[in-house]
Amino acid sequence: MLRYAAGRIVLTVPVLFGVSLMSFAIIHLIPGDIVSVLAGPTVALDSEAAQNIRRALHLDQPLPVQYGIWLMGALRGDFGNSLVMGLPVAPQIVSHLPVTLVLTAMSLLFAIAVGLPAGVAAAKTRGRWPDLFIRAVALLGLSTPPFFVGVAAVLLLSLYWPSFKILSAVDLRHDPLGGIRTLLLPAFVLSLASATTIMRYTRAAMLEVLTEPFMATARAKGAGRLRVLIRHGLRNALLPVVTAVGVTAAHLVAGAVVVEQVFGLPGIGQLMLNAIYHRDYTQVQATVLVVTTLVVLINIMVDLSYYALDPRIQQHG
Amino acid sequence: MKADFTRRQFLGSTGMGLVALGYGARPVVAADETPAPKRGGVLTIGQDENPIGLDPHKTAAFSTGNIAEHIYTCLLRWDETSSHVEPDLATAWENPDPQTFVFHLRDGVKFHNGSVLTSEDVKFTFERLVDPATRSPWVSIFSVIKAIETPDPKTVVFRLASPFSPFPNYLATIKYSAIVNREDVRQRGDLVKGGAGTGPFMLEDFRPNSLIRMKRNPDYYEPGLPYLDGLDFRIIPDEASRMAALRAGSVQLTWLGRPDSATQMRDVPDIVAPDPKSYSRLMLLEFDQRKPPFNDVRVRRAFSLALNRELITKVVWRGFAGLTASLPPMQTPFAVPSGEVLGLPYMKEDVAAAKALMAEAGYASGFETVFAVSPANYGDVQIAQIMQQMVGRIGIRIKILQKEWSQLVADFQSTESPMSMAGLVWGPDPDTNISIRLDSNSTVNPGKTADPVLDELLAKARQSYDEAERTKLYRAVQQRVADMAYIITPCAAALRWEMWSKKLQGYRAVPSAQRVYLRQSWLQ
Repeated sequence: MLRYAAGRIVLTVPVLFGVSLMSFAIIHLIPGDIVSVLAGPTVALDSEAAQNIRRALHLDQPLPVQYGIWLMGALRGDFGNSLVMGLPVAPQIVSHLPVTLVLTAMSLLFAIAVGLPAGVAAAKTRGRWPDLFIRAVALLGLSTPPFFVGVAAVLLLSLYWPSFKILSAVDLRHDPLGGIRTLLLPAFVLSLASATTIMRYTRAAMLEVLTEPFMATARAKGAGRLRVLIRHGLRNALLPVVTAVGVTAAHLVAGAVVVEQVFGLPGIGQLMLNAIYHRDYTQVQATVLVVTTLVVLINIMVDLSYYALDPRIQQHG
Repeated sequence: MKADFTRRQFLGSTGMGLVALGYGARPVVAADETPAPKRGGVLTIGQDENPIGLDPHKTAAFSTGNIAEHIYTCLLRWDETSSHVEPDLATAWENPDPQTFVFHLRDGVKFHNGSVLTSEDVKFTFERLVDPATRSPWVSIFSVIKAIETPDPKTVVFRLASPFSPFPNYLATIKYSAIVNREDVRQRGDLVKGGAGTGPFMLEDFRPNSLIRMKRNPDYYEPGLPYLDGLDFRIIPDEASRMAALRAGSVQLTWLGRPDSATQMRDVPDIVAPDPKSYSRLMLLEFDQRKPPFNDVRVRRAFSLALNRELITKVVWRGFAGLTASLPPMQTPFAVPSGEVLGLPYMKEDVAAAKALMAEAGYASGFETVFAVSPANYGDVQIAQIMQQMVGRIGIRIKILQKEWSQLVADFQSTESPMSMAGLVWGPDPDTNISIRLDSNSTVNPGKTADPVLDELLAKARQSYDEAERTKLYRAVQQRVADMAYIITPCAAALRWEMWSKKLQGYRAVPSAQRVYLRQSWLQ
């Protein structure tokens, strides 16, 4: 298992390299100019002032050279300076990453806490009203975009429950509890679609497992209904569910970009969005790299969890 | 204070207050109810954009100016009508000859780091502004300064290369010439993370994308001010979320970008949502005058005649916009007032005359063209769509090309598309935004206008210190631009719709959207 894990981690290096090359190419393909952001619309883009800015940021160099400069820095752990702010990128990422991590983790927790029991219940009551109800709610959750739910939640809560402070500033370092409290609502909004996905996978997997002969055997042995359902049923149904959790976790990272915007959260999504908007090339590169690493790591963890869940995989590799 | 409010309301309601303070018709605070100012309290502001650094000299970005304007002050400042400058860090100034300005600094002004303001700081500020290493966007403006002399610590003398009447206006605008402390800049290297200013509030904490916290400057030079203990700028990019936050009371002051959101908020109790009374954001359409068809003045005139400008303001801005010539209506007294705009040549809709001009120019069957706009701000695309309909009547078939904002700015400046339109924000002087776009010597002349008559008028206006003469010159400029239809200005709108909780007292919105009046606001 260790060798497998090491192999997977080594494989991420080319993935990250490819992603950095692609994100570099894409951001430079989008027309637009950071100089116009810095200098504003009253300065001509070919004026001396604009040329000054361009030179200072190495933007007068050919693209491969720019990429090379960036890559050499990145390999040494130096992600360079934000072109817009002139400040190092790394501390910015360090200060924005915790919010996204906590937000994603909380959403994942919500999604599992809601999706898993709902899926089991739906499978158990297949075709009857609890199943229909859960599936109807799930359909609604899946088809309502988080930006809508987010804004609606903010508006409704602010009108009918004004004491629930929805938009206070998050400072996880100095006030972790307060920060988590503020993140509750955004995490819930973000978790809706994932909870639905997890519910659907759980239901499908459970339906299959419920018809297996070992379920009847367990019941015949005299085990309690619930024990059979959880220990024998759910445990065996978990494998596809874990895959779903991995996939939704990656979606959550992406969804965080939207939710952070709606709730004004200082996460990596905001950092990335602002960077793209301002054509802050170094910042875009670094944030994309961090988000990619996050998604790749989640996938590795999902792969490894198969081992823990199903001993058969361990034996056969 | 009482008399002040009444006077403003009077001016606003009679339409004489064109300079407009941002509100008028809806009395915000009845004069006799105005409570006495109260010290203390922290105001939370719902801010739409994360500032791209806090160095006031490095960027033209609105988001940076919104923060810097509380930390720094300038030699001069705008009076409450936003049309004339008054003393600030300089208590008096002289203009002994057209190329010399002498400023006398206020006594006992301290920077936030404790050091006392001297003429050396002023000199350093302007040297920093023109230093290529600073990368200031205003280099070309301040290059007019030939020499700065500091005969004593309280006197600064600017020697200009040529007479330059916009000079005092730039010296009154924090986005252009915030006075910084020499020692502070030497210590920090740059002011991106904040610096020591002389403003009413000092920076306490800057958490990007989240919060900017300022506390009261106890040494601020206006006695007793500011009343507030601090400002918290909460960064909430989403407009709907900012509206909700204001309703919920999580923020007490914010602004919105769309007239629809603004009208929604007008009926909310406990919220002051004044209607803008003067408009500073000028919508400006440029033609590529180098190539057919828009090199032909008859085509441009026909285009102008085909537009129903009143309809545009009604439909796109729900009436919250003004007719405008080539200077936005708030730029009084220089701008042609909204009410007189339709009296300028080719401004009033006349489709038959437009068709005749098109035929005369050889385009009886019309032509196809491309119109570049950006959906980044409300209004631009909507206006383009209405124009498309209107000029369609005279055979001009427009293809609207939507571009992302920075891409549009590039297009606008390099005259890529035959037509492009952008909204221009407030500039301190009529010369700032509009004139430099029409002067053939200007480096930012997107339409490639080259008109010796216009050039001469603009140069004279730039060099004249007599307001009446300048007004006459700029009126002539607007007349000439309308006559030659070099640019089309469909309307001028509000830069922002500012609104606040009734708890915030003594505040007033200004058309340039500078929140300088927070220094004399308080929480009830």
